[in-house]
Amino acid sequence: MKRLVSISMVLLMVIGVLVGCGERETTNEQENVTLDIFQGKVEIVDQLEELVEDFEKEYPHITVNLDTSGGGEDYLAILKSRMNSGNQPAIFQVPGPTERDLWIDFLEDLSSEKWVDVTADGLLDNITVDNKVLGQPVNIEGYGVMYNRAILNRAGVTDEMIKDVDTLSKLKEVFETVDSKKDELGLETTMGWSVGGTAWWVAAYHTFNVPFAMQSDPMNFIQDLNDDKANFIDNDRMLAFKDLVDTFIKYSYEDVASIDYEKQYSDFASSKTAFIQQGNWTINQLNEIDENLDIAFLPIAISDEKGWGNDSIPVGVPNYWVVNKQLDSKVVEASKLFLEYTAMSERGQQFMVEDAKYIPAFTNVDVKDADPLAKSIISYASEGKTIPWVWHAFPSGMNENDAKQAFQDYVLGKKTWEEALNFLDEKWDEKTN
Amino acid sequence: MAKKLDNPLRKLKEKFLFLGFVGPIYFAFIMVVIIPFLIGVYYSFTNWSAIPGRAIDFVGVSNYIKAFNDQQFAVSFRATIMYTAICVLLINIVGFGLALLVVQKIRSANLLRTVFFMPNLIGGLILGYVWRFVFIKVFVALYETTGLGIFGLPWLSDANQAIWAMAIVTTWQMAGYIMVIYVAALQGVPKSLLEAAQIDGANILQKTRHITFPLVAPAFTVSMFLTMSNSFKMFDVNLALTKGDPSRMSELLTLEIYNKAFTESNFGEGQAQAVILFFLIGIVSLIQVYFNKKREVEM
Repeated sequence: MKRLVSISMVLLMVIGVLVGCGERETTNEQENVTLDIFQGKVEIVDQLEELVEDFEKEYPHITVNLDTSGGGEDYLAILKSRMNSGNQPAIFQVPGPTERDLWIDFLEDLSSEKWVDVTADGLLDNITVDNKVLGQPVNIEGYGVMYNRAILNRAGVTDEMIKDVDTLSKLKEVFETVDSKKDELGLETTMGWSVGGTAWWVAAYHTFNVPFAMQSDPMNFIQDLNDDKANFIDNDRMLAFKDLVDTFIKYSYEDVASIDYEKQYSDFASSKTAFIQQGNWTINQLNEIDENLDIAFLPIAISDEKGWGNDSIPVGVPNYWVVNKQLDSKVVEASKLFLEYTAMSERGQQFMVEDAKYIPAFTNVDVKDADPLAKSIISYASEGKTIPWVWHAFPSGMNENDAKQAFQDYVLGKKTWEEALNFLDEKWDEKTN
Repeated sequence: MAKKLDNPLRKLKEKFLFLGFVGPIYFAFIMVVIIPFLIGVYYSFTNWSAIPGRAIDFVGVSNYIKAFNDQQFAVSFRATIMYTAICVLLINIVGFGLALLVVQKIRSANLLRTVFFMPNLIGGLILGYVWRFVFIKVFVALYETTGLGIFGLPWLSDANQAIWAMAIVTTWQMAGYIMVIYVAALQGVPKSLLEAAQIDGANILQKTRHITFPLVAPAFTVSMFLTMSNSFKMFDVNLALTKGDPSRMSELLTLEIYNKAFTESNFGEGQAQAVILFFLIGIVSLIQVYFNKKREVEM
């Protein structure tokens, strides 16, 4: 009897829950379309919210819910739980090949969209499978060895010398010139670099990307690593990479293993360091401290070899907007409309250039007054001096866990360079076998 | 006679009352603890990718074999044991000390209780970031002004120090909570016993050792269980304070499980590690409770 009562009660409750859910779904599904956007950039939530409002005014039948996950790196984890929760977003973000392949069953083919024709060359490669374009680039970002021109000039480094940097030797020369006058210039250290703290990603993603991006065919090299046809230790770029890392360690803070991101950029913005390795996304934070910084990028060179791209900076698409094709076709159509609105309408372009301060991925958008870092990237790009971002094709966890550990072990002297490379090799094989 | 007659009715009523009170909690417990736990155990035997719609293949115990062969799992295991040992000792000593302090007849006792308890109201993530600042900036400044060696230690850049640093933060956070348990127990010690001992000529140490300790033994059982299981499951302070630095040496098991599952997209193996952690906590806690219970005395 007791058991019967409890079982029936449980059943009643379960049914109640199910009925409750069912009702809600049916009332929502009338002609009005609700569009859930799930994105990961906390810095531009307000600007994006305004864009969404204007979009809703233009298309009154579409209601957009914008949802942002806090702090970039958790985005992919939260996305997984969102996708499993039954409340799947219609538009979400995919950074590159590894995640693209993970979500491939969900990605709507966007090849026939208008914005595909105006997307700059090469930017769709990472999101294209079997000639199907599966996502829209959000923007372009770049990074390099950022320098403060005022300090360099005071140290006696002329603009010509800066322009002339296209090898590691020349980069070292510039570092050394500034370093020798460190005390007169009031610098805490010459260059701000970190392999740990809250800035671990500076090394584990961005520095680590360089030797891959300088391969003659980066994607092929990654494939060879996956198939165990290539090794870190046998690769000339990987061996040369040591030189760059040693240079960074030499001119950076003493406790390079635990410098936080906040210290890295704020020291640079307040002229306590002359260089940092960072990207154009830091511009707002830098300008908050000093609005009139005269800054630009130097290439990240790993050797003096010609033809490796030692005169270039890594430029890439950090994220793609993708549309969830497993949702109702009305929602999918509305999603496509939203992506078209951001790329093709004047309001969308205003959002990209003025509100979010993006470097747009589209050729139909004019950048009138770009910030100094964006200008620097555009000038490198126009000279063709760019190398790609390839870490989005690495096995999951390679950057966050293994590259980070390898850098820290090397910096702390627990591994030699060869041991670090072998360690990475082992971890890569573990993840791809 | 009349009493016997309405007995079945009353029994039924009692049953309904019981079900009414326990039922909802029971239901919630099954829904959010038991069922997810069983699903989790199931996933630990599969190659689940967390992508809805993907086929889930049964892979036997291979996730467990991988977990036991995983170097990082061993490192995290060692770090967790060390961290837990330090935490259980520190928190209980500090908590008991604070409790002894605030049950004394001092004027600010009530204020002190509130103050000591307050860190417990702050979330572990915020606490981690605040203490990160303390270890990196405040300690360095203190070292420069006072020259005391303890402030000059590489608190966050050395593996063992980092584990100690986490234990210190956890102690700061949790000692106040444990203090409350001890305060309740200490107040339950009858005055008459202590006075009788005093008349017999026992000094304060003897009184604490032979009367207070045995009588608050149940509180030790509870506190040690709480601190132990809490330390084994520590995640937020670890994430905010060290994030595994240096070289993943201070990465506790829960953070390693999170990394395995979410950053490496290896949910099966992460889940297997979680099941191992569950058994570890279960076994250690049972042993601890068994031995602590033995020391408890009835009044």
